[in-house]
Amino acid sequence: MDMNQLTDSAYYILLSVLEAKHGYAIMKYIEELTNGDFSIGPATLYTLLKKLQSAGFIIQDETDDDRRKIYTATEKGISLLCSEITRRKQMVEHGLNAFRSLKGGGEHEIEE
Amino acid sequence: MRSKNKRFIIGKGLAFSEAWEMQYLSKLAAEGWFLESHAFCGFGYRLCKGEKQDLQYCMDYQKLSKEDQEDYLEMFAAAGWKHVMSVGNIIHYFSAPPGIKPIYSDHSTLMEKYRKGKVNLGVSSIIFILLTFLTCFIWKNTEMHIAQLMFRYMFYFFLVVTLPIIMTYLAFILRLWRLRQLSND
Repeated sequence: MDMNQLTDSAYYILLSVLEAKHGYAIMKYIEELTNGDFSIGPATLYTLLKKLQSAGFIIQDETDDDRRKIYTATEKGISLLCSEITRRKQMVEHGLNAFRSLKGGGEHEIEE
Repeated sequence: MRSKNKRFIIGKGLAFSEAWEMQYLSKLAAEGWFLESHAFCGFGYRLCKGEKQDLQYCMDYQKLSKEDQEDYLEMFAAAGWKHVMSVGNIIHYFSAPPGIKPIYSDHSTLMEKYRKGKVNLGVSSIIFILLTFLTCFIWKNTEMHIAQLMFRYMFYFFLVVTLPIIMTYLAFILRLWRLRQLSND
């Protein structure tokens, strides 16, 4: 995947493997992190783990006790996440500015 | 075909509609017949009798290695999807009670599912079309009576098999086209 941007799902997956996790733990983590606002289906998760892995953003290891896979973000993945957070923050800023500059912009409520 | 607790059915063909096929399996489960495994070289299903249940079915295409398989199925299990059967370790069927969320949660990975399926089907379509033509050609050009007869029936066989494959392929192209249109909206 030639990516310099992440889809929402890929963004959350990469966030959840900043610390090593099993596949199924990623789904749970994302639901907790987002208070259930965002959930990832297993097929989407598997597809994206494979993609992120082949792009070098995560690596897969076997745990010692059993043969299950754990996933961890690589340096390359972490630096992509950082630039992605900046990008998304800027997008939110742009949105807020657009609303603030409206005449009578107080009509629309945005939680800040 | 029916025995007391087993039943075989011919698939309606994923060719026409995957959604339709999955709904059909749900309907059978509501009547107490559950998908157990595939039959007739992947063209049909073996069902077993059980207590009536509301179930939803879904399928996914993933070429899995042995090591990946466990990991993959575990993710589905964690999300509430029970693995029912796999065909050739590429097509995987799952069932879940109502209310469990779909296995694809975003558009781009869903499109990928059909893109992957499309490539596989494209290759098989080409192979089967070539075989169909080849058997037809030999049948028309051979002088030996026995060979004529043999290749004639082989031609009929390939014709019967090739058409559904091509139709499935076309259905995938249509599905991808529709998904692409949705994402452009």
